[in-house]
Amino acid sequence: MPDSTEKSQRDLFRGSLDLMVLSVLADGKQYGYAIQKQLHLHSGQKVQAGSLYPLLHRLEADGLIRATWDKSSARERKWYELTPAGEKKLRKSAADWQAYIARLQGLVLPAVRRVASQS
Amino acid sequence: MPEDEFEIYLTLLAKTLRLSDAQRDAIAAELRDHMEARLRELTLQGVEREDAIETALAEFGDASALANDLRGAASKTTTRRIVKTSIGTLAACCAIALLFTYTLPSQRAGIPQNASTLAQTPASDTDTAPRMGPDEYIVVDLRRLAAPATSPRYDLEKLARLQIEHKASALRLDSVNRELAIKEALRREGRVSPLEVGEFENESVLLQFTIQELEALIAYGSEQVDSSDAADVLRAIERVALGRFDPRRYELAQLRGDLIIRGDEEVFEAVSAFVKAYAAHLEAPDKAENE
Repeated sequence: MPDSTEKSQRDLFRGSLDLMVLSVLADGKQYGYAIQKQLHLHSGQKVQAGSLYPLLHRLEADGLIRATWDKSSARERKWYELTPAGEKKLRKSAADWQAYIARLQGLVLPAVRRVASQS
Repeated sequence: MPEDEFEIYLTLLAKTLRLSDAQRDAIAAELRDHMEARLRELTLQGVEREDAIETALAEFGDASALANDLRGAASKTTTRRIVKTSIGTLAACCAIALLFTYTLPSQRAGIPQNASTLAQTPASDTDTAPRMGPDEYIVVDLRRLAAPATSPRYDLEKLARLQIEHKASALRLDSVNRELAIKEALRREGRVSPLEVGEFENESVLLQFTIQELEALIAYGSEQVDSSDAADVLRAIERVALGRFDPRRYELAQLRGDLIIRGDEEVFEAVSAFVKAYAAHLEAPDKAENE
């Protein structure tokens, strides 16, 4: 059972990664390593670096985020931020997500109550 | 101070990215920043430096796979461009097919009907074909190349700028000396000399050929099998590169997916055709066997 739960959580996590990254960037500019930390902090799941960067680059190619290089320090750093299209996508995805959760709750919560009352 | 291990990984990554130098440098800089941040974090937690480096790299996974994923994003605009000029590309490929019809002596006999048809396409559209840079590659699974082919010249030409990668661990597993199996085998043949032989963090060995070298390989493969079937020729080419692999070990390596061939955009298209043919072959095994 724990394995099944864990797998279910990971599937949910993977399915919502785009939305989570956009949400993290809604707070302002972040670089890859910091985004990874934020994702871990909020989800409890760790997205591997090998998965994170292709995802960031895909979002960038889709025009949902944009990147700038900070070369002011010894170590160059690439910072990501939301574009207007990314903000729009975030709002739309968040609304879809909330609607989906509401519908799911409408089905699941009564079912859980029925099961609890029968046991 | 950059860690050597990081640089080796990033070098491998850069080599397998089908992107411009500027794009590759930018990706390497970004990943290096992440690796060093992770290394600092782990060492502050008390992890031994060597272990921390290993962990930081492991979190990026296989460099070839990562390069493939990163290319996916970067090639989006390229893909759009290719779609727009697909007609020109097709015409150019037909012209290439015509060229190959007359440059592979051992294959002139038994030209498939579809190759003959392709050869009628005007060659004047060749310059409309979108071309990727010579250092741009796409990873494909060699297992798919066992698929039956129907238009060998068309497909073989697309193997230009071929790369063959062997996993060192697989070679060790089969008790094959990597040096003898790959480098010396190629030199012994005298047909080709790899432009680059790199040993990377994941202990893969990468052989990269120019189109001229590949033509020599194809000619050699064609002589060996006396066949117009691209799959047969490919297998002969692979055997050259594999050197001392005996057929049984070779098959095992294929089955395990330990061999990877890389090529440019055209290779990818050619392999896609192989994959489709292979899928059709799997769906109708009885028919294929009867043929």
